[in-house]
Amino acid sequence: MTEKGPSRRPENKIYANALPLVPVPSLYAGPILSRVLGPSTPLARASISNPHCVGVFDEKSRSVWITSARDIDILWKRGFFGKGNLSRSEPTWLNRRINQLNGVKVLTAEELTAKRREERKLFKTERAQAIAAAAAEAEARFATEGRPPTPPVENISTAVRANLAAQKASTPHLSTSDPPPPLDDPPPDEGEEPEGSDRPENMEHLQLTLQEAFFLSWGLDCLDVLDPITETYLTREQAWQAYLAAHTFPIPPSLSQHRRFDNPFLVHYVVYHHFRSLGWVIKSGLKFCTDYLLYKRGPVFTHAEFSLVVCPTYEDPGDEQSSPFDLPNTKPISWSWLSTLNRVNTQVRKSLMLVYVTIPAMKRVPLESIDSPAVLQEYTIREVTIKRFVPARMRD
Amino acid sequence: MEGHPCVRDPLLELCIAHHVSYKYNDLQTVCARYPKHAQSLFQTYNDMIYVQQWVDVNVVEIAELSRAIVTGRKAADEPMRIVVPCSLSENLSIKWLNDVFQNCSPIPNEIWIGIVGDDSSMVYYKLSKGIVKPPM
Repeated sequence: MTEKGPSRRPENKIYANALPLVPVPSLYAGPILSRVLGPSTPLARASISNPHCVGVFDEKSRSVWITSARDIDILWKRGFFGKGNLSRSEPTWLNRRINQLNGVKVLTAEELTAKRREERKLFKTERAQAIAAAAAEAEARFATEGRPPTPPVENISTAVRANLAAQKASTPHLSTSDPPPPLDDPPPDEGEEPEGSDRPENMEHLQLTLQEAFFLSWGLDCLDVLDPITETYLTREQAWQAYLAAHTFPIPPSLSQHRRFDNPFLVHYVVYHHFRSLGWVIKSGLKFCTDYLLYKRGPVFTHAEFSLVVCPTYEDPGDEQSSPFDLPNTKPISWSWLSTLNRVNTQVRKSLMLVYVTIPAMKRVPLESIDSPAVLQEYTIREVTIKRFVPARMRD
Repeated sequence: MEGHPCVRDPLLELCIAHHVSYKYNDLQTVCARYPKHAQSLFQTYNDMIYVQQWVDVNVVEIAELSRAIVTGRKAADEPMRIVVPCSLSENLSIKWLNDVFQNCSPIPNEIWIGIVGDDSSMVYYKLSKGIVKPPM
């Protein structure tokens, strides 16, 4: 599946920037002069290009929505932030819809996966038929000659694969030269049908979690978040309060208990910020029964290496009793559940990592500190990687 | 730039035009009635209409469960399926599942629950009443 060599280079170029902020070499000093003067000289210092993206805060979904195509492109290509709400990861819904209506020109990731699954299904049926045929032939030979059957010289799987490849090569290529006729023929609209008017409306947006949004606006200062109700941009303090309150929605902020150290926003932000600052790309692990997945460079390069389960630990057990949040995985994990998680993730070749986040005690830390990100200093984070040990096999 | 009413620039017009209530249009009344489940309903509904492209999609409110479910067919000749949207932060119990089965009319043999995460990741799980033999 991984292709090395020249076909790898497009991804390296497209996804070259790890973050939305891009250093721009200074206009005043060329490369030679910079080297002569040294990196600390003001002339040689690069400036940073800030894309200033804009998003809309949605309280009901606890997320920030990005709708402008330019911002979606920047935030995805520079750091893989967010997820298209109608796609698997990268927002490709519009392209898939256009492909569906007008015929496939360029395959999106979802279409490529679907194609591969079809091919694998075909291979499996052919292989099953080949195995049945070989077994029937061996039975027949045994019945007539009385000799026990000899194992086949050639491996059945390789034979079937070779057959399919030969078939594919001999049939004329239909995909690129003749796109299939469009699925819905739009009725002619009273004589006027301008070219390209059938471009469907993009029903998809890029959805950022509150942790991603806060990291972009506070850590990198490249995202401005709009409050759709007041139609003003949120200041960082307002955003912080809004994100805390979103976790007790729909209880109004004046009545809710969102100002607590075990607010899920804070617990998850500690994890998000920790791994992002270390250079990992961190995404949702819903598909693998865990909280997060860690990618070394990004989803387009390799599969995720680590699967994270966040285990919040209360410094003061009394806080847990009074909590309105009911955080998962605070109690010790049972062996059966741990084995299940490990098995699921081993099958998809990911290492399971338990991330322990210590939640400060309400008794020790004054509540006012929760009104600024400085409260994050009170949290600690520890990672434990789990790997199953089989004494008989792991001798080295 | 922060805190004060924004100047109407074209980029902002785009944001406001795509403002959440516009997108929630079809479901606005239902979402208003059950705000806690608005996101999971919205995401499930959009997924079924635009991604899975099911037909005969309808939103059915079930007051006893204080949520709305989505019904639809995978294709015109398939039987009606029931999808119950829920959020990742919810804690499901056997009693909850029993209530869902009892309160859908007609009582189904199987339901799908659509679990939605904060970043709009969705997984569907099929739940059947009782033991189901795996297909041969």
